[in-house]
Amino acid sequence: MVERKKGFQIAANIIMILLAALCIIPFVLLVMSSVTDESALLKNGYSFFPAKFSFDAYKTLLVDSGSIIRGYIISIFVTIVGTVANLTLTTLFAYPLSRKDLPGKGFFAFVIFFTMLFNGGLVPSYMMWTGVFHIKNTLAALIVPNLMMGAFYVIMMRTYFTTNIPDAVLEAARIDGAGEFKILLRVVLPMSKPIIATLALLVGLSYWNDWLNGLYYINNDQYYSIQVLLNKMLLDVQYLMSGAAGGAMNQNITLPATGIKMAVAVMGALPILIVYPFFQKYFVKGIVIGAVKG
Amino acid sequence: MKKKRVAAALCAVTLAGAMIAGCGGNDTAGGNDSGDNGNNQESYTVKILAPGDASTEDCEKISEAASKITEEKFNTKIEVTRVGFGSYDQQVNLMLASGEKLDLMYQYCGNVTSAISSGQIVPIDEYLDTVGKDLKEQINESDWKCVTFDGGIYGVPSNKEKATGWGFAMNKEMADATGIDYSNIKTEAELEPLLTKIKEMYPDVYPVVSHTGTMSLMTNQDDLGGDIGSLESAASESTEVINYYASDKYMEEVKLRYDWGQKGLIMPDASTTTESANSLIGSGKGFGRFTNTKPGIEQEIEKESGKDIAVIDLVDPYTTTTRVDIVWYVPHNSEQPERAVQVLNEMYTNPELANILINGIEGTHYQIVDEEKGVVNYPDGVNASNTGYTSLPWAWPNEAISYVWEGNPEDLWDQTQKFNEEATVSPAKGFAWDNTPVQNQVTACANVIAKYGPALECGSLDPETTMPKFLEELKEAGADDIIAEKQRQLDEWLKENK
Amino acid sequence: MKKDIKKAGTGKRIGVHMKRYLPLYLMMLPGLVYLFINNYMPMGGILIAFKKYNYAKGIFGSPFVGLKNFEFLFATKEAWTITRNTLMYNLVFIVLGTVLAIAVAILLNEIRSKMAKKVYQTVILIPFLISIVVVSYLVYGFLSTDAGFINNSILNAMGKEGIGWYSEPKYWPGILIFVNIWKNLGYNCIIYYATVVGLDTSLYESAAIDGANRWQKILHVTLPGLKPTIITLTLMSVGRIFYSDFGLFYQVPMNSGPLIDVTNTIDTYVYRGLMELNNIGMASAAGLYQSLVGFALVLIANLIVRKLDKSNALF
Repeated sequence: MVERKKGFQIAANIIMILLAALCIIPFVLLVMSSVTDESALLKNGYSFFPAKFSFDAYKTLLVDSGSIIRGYIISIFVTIVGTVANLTLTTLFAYPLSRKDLPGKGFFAFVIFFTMLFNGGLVPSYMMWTGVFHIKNTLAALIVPNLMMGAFYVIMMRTYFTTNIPDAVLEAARIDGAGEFKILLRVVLPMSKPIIATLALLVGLSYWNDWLNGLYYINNDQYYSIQVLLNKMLLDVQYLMSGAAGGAMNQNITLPATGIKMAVAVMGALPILIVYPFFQKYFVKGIVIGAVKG
Repeated sequence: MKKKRVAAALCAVTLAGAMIAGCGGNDTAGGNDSGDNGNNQESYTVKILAPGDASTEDCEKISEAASKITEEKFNTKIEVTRVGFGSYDQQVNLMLASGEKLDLMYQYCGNVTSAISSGQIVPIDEYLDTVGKDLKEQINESDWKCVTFDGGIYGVPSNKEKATGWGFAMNKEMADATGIDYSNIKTEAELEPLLTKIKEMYPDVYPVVSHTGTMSLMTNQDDLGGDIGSLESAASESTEVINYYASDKYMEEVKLRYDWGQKGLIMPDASTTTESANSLIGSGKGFGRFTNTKPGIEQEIEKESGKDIAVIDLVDPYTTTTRVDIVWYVPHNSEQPERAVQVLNEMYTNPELANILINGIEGTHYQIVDEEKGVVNYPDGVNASNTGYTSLPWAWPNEAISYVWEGNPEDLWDQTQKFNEEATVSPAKGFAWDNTPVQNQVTACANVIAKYGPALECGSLDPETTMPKFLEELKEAGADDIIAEKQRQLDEWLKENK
Repeated sequence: MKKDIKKAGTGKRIGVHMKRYLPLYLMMLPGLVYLFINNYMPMGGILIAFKKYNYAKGIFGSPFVGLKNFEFLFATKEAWTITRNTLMYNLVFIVLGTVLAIAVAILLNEIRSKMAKKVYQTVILIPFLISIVVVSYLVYGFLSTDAGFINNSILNAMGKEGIGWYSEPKYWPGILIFVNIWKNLGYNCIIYYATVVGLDTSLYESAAIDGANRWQKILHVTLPGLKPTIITLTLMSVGRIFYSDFGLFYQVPMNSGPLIDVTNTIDTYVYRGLMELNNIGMASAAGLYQSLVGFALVLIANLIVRKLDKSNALF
């Protein structure tokens, strides 16, 4: 029995190692090509062992290190504030939806699901956020539109609540005289650390990676988040290549070199990779101590 | 239950409607009561949107400097906003839709008729006669026609090169090393011996590289303002609209390129690479590329590739409606279009103002290298990637009155002027194509062309087997409808304009 | 719980109801306000799909054109190709993506070493963090004909001819599926993993007492525990089944012409077609069409789920 268990652990680890390799190898290639000399890259193609190293790409990006640092600060601020706001809204909405006895819960579930499929498009949203709420060129523009609550996360959290919080626990709390807000805060939330950590991670990711709000609502470089800053370069290349610009114009604008595109990707992803392990303690088994058993 | 849901949804939508109508309602405003010129006008701010990267702080400084000139003259302030190319279209679209105040904007290769029919821009002829007299005088008739529709003038064509030729740009050092006299090469086919020799001498170098997945055609067809349907040659008198993809000229060219591709004279993956041709040439991986030609083209490619460049002219310069590609518009959300035109007139004629808007502030964004010849360069410590205000002369109304950047021919603007004057004028120049009647066909054809066009033009597909399929699919997509409609509009236009 | 209500007198019932549920409705209020502002108010914009949009006149002032904006989607036989591609790819993504994500989540859960768990989790999320544009460069790095890693370092080393990947449509369904799964596996896996971790440990303990082995535990405890999440996620993907990841189908194949038959989806078709037209009426029409089909499908799917097991239905 013990031997079999060991055998299984080895097999499982081998599979995971292979999978991890599959995920990390392209990333290594990405990092390597960001430090490969530009003409070596064009000549020899992408390589895990660059013929010639060069940190020019990072130097170019960091020329204006002031705005890069400012970009990181803005991104961090927006990610933290946005994630907290989103999780608050999401939890408050998901918990009632998870209650089987709530009258009209089907309707409310539909109201939120509907937003996943239908939207009025960018133009009316833009008119409203800029015309009524005047968020253009403010930090709120990076936080509020679209990202503050989404059907996907609400439904995920509702599903978790319905599956993992037994009715008996809620019932017991109610008998103890706890109100709904207290139940949510004292009973439901402590039992939901895995989903909260997961959603915090996913929401945080969507805030961190977002550059569309920046593209639409910001044209003051004081408010560029790191992703807006980095994506602007990729966007310019995309535009020039789409053919929308026609042939004649291309030569007037220098396309960023491949190495820069790669460095951009590395700089955007790295902070997440550093932060991610901190979230993981919440995924570790055993943290959910069912109140029933307690 | 269902009914209730629907009712709630409808209720939400109606409310939403009311709100939007409320906030979008200001776009019809624009009391136009100031008729008088000079600085006794009421004060007004002209908001200008131009492309290119610039920091907000620097834009504010430049707006301030520019305003000094215009306030004294017209009691008008200038507010410059610049938006990077990648987001320019998107931001302009949103600004135009939301009715945010905007007085002057740059447009590249925009279809003037669709901008008019979708209500994006307003006619400016009446103001040209009052506050835009210099514009009216300095821009020639055939250029005005390109922005005229139904008798109204809708934009100001930018004064830059308004014609193009085509040619082959190559690494001069390698070309000289072959010992072949390339000065006599006049057609694309005649390039072959040179390319073959390059291939022999430098087996690691691709003789021809593509530019971000495309290779220009060496043709002077006039595409009549976009979409399928062209005049076969801008230099001939014929005004018959044809499907250029079905022409012998096209077939001949793609056959030649396929042949080259087979012989290894064109880089593999030419139609899918994302690299720019100039960096491929710069890295030594490529020998040459097809390019548009204009005064200063050698220097431009030299600057980007870092190699000595020679250009072989293959198609003589010609001009069509499509070539008047940068136009300044007054958008519908300008509160006082007349004041906008007044400022535009000044931007076109006042070198001091033009220089501030194009190049920024002396000492900060540029410094004068040679006062007499009007040559400038970056100040010490400033370069293209860290400047707070990118200089893109061609994007502004009149580059010809601004300084020339070091590295270009000193008489660049004179050369450009000459180039424009000497270019062959297409018989259909000025015709502005309105594709609204055939939009479905246009979208379908665009998809078919994306499927075959670039790959054929880069020599990656065999024309013998592909062409029939290509033409068949174009036909199914309604290419003939587009061509017939274009012919009809063109004939009508020709009748009015001859 | 229902007993509580029944015990109360009928007269008091509504009052009790209110008192009991008011806090719950209050909790939902901020969310509802946000949804109303962010999602429902702009929905007036759906009207654009039926209008010839005029910037100066705005959404409500522009003239109606009926269904004219929708025509271009069905104008040629290409309509069939793009619909087929969009649907088939999405079906494969849903089925294969779910199966693999669950498998990996379970496997991850079975691994003992905490350190190893941490490393695996972090690493499989990496692909999700890289923007699709950059992914397209990486794919190109592997597949480019002359400099690509596969042709250069693998096929050549084996003495084989390089393959012109970007002009051979037959490889691309496989490549696109691989890239999509590769990119999203980590993300989906996290969601399933969180559910697995959250499952009541007592269930496993009692299964162990019954003498269940690992596979039986997975089969009888883990999978049933995951069922609600699987159903929810699948229903949500069904709603988006007419949408496609533009970057995956446009940028990853480098917009290569010869591949278009297997890479053209509704989104890329609309993009290529409207690039020059810049017609927001037609663009909204395409979006509305995609939403409507997804909506119809999801209603049907939800109905079926409801019939089978009411508590797992989406609404």
